[in-house]
Amino acid sequence: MAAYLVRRILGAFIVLIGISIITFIIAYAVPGDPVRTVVGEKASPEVVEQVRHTMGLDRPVYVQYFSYLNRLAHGDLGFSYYNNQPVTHLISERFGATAVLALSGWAVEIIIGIPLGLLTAVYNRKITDYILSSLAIIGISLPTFWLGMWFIYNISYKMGILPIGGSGDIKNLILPSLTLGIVGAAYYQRLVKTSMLEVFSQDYIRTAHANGASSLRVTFRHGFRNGVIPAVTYAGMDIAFLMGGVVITETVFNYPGIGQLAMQSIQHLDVPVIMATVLLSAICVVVMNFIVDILYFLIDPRISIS
Amino acid sequence: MEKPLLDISNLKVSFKSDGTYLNALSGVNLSIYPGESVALVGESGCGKSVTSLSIMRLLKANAKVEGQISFNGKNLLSLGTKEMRKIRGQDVSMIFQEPMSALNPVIRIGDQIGEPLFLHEKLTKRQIKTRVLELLRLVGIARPEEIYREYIHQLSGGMRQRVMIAMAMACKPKLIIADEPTTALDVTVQAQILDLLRNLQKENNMALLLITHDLGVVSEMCERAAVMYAGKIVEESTVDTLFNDPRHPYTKGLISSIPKLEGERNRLKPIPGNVPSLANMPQGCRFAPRCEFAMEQCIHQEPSYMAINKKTSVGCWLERGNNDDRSTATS
Ligand SMILES: Nc1ncnc2c1ncn2[C@@H]1O[C@H](COP(=O)(O)OP(=O)(O)OP(=O)(O)O)[C@@H](O)[C@H]1O
Ligand SMILES: [Mg+2]
Repeated sequence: MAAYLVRRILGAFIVLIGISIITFIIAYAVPGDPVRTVVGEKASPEVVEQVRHTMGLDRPVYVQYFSYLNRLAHGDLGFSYYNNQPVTHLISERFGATAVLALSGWAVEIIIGIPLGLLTAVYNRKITDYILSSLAIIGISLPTFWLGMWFIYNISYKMGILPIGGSGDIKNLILPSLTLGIVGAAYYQRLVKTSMLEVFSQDYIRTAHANGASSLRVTFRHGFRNGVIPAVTYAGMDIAFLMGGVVITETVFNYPGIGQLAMQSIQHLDVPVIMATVLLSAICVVVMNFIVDILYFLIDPRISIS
Repeated sequence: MEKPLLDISNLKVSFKSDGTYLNALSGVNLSIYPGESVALVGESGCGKSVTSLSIMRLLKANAKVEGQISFNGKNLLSLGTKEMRKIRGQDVSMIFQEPMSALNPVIRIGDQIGEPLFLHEKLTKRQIKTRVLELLRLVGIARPEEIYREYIHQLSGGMRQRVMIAMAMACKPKLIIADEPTTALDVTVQAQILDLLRNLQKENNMALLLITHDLGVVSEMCERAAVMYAGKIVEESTVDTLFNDPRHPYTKGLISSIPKLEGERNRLKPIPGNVPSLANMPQGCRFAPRCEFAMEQCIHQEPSYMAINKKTSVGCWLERGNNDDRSTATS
């Protein structure tokens, strides 16, 4: 187990180095001149060169990369050109907000999606299945921004129950997480339904019936753990992506999270912030991958660590 | 005479596919007496598994089942789900062919064996565990404490089947149905598992329905045997009589196709032709197209299945006293 953990952590570290190179290249490939962003369009060429020098942007690429890596190792993500603040400050401020939104949206997805998947599998090709599956198809085909707008218009604006946007209170969280959750739940429903149907056709399910177990017990005790495995993988990746920022939802609800920050930084060519948000998303994915592997091990004894 | 424990009469099963029903069983009759061991033999696809699953009412939803299966005086086919659940695993249990797929990959072996006990007997967790450990020892598993905590993929094929047997034995059922319990195993292991099954059955005075296509196994394990062909039982008798005096041409064919170890290989002759498909059942006797003794009558009319003496029942026109017609046999 310890050896496995060390190997995994080492592996994750190498992946992160790779990602740092990629983000660095992205920053390099961004069209436009970051120095111009800082000094403005009217500055004279001398000033531009001067600033370029102080920013270290006239040095060879690999030197720039290593100094970037060095700063990264010291927790220094640079300075936002646009916001005039340390990037770490910006990110940490918004990451908390995104994490809360991501987790609650994720919870809504799972709370709706998994039971729906189970129900539609148990009542496969019966009326319950047809109704719920149709609802799920509607859910999966709703554009996020449309659902978000619909909520804002009907619930916030017309009924005046919940705030239109912003953050800071649990009330601000309800509509954005419902928006995220409803659109995302349908995917869980399909995933769980398909895999439960597959599980129900397995011989060990017939054995469970042959022992005299009730359908309820067969579904939960004998089927669920096997059937939920694909949903666990997906859930891990899903929360990783959500943590990296939910651009559309945050934009629609004017929610100050990573997604909104990423959006702004791209609009303003704020290279250090772009790099930081990409890096953050990547870290989320790597970390969640790791957690999912451990979870797998706990759910499925056939996977042995060694 | 004693009453049969299980009495299947005129069992018909058909499967719905593409809007039509195909008959997999067309009138199966079979009785098993308490403590008796009966073999059900026949080529692949003749309906052995369908018969066994009908008893347990475990056929897929596309199956239509008619007839009567009475067990201990109750017609299983008309029981409610709840009553049927009480019988499964408690009065009748099953051993399947592939223990690897028939056991749950993510539940500990001990818990799986304990499941029928949990479902049918009012026992505490501790009591269940004690019983499961006893069962593991009973089926010849050394280190029961360790195996209890393991998962099915950690065991060898023979051990897996021992686990299945332990599970089937848990509530001391009156009838065990074993559907080709050793087909998936090595030859040496097969003998051990069959021995174990035979001994447990004898010691506990349980009835056994052993499904197999290995006639060698039949003579070692069973007192009586029923031969099945294309969804019907064509002959049934005590094992001795069946081997020494087979009546139905299909039974004769099966027996002469058993490889004998004593240098008789050249006399091994497989039955020519193939089992008819469900969609294309011959109109008369189903075996007629493959039968070397087939007569005009065989092709047009189905022979009825009836007792010809105390021990033997058979469904063949040749057993109807019109032996004179043999000269007009076509093939
Ligand atoms: N659910 C089903 N739907 C349609 N046809 C089925 C179904 N189950 C079984 N059958 C058909 O019923 C017939 C009898 O099958 P069965 O499994 O009983 O054969 P078997 O005698 O057990 O053969 P084997 O020795 O290969 O196990 C076969 O033709 C099979 O294709
Ligand atoms: Mg079979």
